[in-house]
Amino acid sequence: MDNALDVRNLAKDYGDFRLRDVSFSLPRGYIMGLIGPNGAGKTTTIKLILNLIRRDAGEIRVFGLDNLAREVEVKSRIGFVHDTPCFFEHLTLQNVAKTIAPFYRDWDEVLFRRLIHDFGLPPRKRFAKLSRGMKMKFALATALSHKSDLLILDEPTSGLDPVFRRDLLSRLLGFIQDEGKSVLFSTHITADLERIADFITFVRDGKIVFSSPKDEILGAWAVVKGGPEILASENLSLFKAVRRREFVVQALTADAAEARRRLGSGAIVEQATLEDIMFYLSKGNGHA
Amino acid sequence: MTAALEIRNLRKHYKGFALQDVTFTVPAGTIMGLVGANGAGKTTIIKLILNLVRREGGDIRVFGREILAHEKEVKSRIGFVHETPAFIEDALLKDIAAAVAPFYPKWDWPLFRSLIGEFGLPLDKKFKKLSHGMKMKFSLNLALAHGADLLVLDEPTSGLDPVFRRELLERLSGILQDEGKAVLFSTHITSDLEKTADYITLIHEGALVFSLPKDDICDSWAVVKGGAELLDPARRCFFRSVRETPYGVEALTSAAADVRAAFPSDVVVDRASVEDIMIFFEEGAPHA
Amino acid sequence: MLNHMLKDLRLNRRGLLIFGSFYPLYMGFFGSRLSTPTIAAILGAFLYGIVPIIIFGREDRFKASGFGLSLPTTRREVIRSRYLLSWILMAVCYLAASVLMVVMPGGKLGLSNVFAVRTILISLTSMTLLFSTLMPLFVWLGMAGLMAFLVAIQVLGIVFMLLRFVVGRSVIAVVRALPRAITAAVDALGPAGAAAAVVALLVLINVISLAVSTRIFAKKEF
Repeated sequence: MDNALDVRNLAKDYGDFRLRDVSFSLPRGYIMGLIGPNGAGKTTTIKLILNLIRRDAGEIRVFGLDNLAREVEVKSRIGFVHDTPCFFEHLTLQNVAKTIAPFYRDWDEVLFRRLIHDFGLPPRKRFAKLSRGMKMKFALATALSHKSDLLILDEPTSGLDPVFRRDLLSRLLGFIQDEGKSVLFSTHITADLERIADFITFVRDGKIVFSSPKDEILGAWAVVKGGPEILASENLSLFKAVRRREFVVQALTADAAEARRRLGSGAIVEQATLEDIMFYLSKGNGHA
Repeated sequence: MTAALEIRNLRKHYKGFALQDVTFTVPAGTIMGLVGANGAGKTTIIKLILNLVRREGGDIRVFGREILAHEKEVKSRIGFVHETPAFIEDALLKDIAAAVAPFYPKWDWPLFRSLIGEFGLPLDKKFKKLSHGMKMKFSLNLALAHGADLLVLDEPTSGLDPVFRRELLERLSGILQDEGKAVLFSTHITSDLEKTADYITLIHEGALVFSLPKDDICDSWAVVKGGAELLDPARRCFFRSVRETPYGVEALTSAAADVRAAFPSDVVVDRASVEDIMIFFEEGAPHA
Repeated sequence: MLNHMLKDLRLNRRGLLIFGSFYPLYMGFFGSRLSTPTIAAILGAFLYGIVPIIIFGREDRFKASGFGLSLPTTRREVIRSRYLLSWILMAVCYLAASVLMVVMPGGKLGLSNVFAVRTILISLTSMTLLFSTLMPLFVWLGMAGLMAFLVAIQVLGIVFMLLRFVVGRSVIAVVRALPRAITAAVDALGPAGAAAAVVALLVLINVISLAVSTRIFAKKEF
């Protein structure tokens, strides 16, 4: 079974920021979440996949097709939702659809109308008059209406209230019921990822920290809390990051089982949330 | 001790929306999270506290002083951060600070400068050159540097990565070490609230749903899942909201203990998160 | 109030530098080429009167007004300090332009012309009329609204000019009425008397304008 997305050794140099050696894969039928601090390279990576910017090195394959060599074909199979959807502000929704439909070989007008209706979007309303959440939904409707097999969303839930977010996320889940379809989305709201993502890719400073199934991550990474003794030299290699606060040490490990084995009752070992992982890697003092 | 913020019977209406008799209190030494769907009224309430819009009825007191009668005094104790921080775009950060400082009797330059250092803000840069996160940090810096006793923050974490969000929340908790202070912040990211807030206030369509200590919400509100027995009219008084799903019936209750007592054990009673509650209010069929 | 004025000055340094130097320079040069001071007085007033509105309009443009109002202040204070600052700015521009008009090489107007009581009164009256009308409109409609209003006035002006062919009366006559009135006052009351009477009237107009602006501003929502 080929992957929806294969990224190998991707590199892009902006001078003061560099994306290096970025490699990850998204198997078909799954949802991958892309997380990382602001400026880490998430949006750059997405733009490279869509060929909105030119890569310096590496390979990107969508459904096995090179995204540069087979650009048109690849793009017709990708549905993209930008974090600030901008279509033609002064056009009504149905006119926006009429304008973009001809670019897609497989535009499904019936499906589009049904989605618009399900999402509660009035077709004769001007795009500019929609709230942010509605704009997001509209962008999603158009992305879904041209039979895309890979949905890529950049910060789709930012600024949306929990009700909208949950709705959007459940639609994404509905999308992948068809096993040929896949989703890649970047977000800051890790709770959303923990809810629906199958795979998580963490980008930091232009590099991939990890790209693994979510359950594996949550099973393996943990926050270890204890006294200073847990930082004994034989244990240091366990920890990816350490945070000291007076007499309390909090450390992040990528090997929870090993930490439990070595430290036993001398420390508390708690499953790390995605947020914990991001936080400690950014703030703690790195080791190993 | 005088409450930091007391709101009573607040009323305001716009076309298609009305704030109805909103009443709640933020005790000194606490953090209150304000939640609600987009358009529920959170920003309106915050603007009314700052007198950016005119109220039509009700009373707002900050540390016992009515805000309209003592506008200057009250505002000198409030630190405000807007959802989208806006200043004159081409002004330098240091000019903005110098322009704002004289208004506050308790402005603390050493504190301002140390926060600038901590946040990594470039004083000589123009405001428009900052990223959204930096703008937020600067806005917060101004609010903290004048020794505000009540911080009022409108969506301070929107668009910010989890690392910074956590830092911000830790800092807010730190501020409350001084028991004379208080924080009110509105947010969509309910997971942040559940970690930091002491009180949570939920607004739905202009009306207050509840304003309670977080622990009370955890103890009393629950999502009940079961079958048709939940629809029994005689027992509906337990539920705030009931809805049918493809898998059975779900209901929201604010009296979890009573429900556990009244229903047979094959009904599942789970702690409701703030998000669950919000979603029920938006989607479930309410009934008196 | 001082805090407000300093704040507006600090934050708008760039704008002030550009407009505050360009307009006086322009008028200083242009005015010096004229043989009578009246046109310069009236035209100059239009330019200086706009400067404060452009400056305050920047806050409007950047949507920064909300923050300004969250500072420990009342709306009354804000609008009052704006009026005061506006007059200071207009006075500085006017003075600078007038001095330039006199000292500009090849200038035809002399000190006695530019700083004649009549000329000063015409300038002050023009500035007052313009500013006192525009400021409440600006407070009410914001920058965008004001622009729309000014465009509408232009259209009206064109209509009047066309009407001239029908009515047979020149639009210039309306504008001429102002200097004529001032001249009549100076003749009737003497320079000191006229100055006192006119200035009293101008102060009254400003006070009314401030009252109107304050009322509008107090009700405005941000």
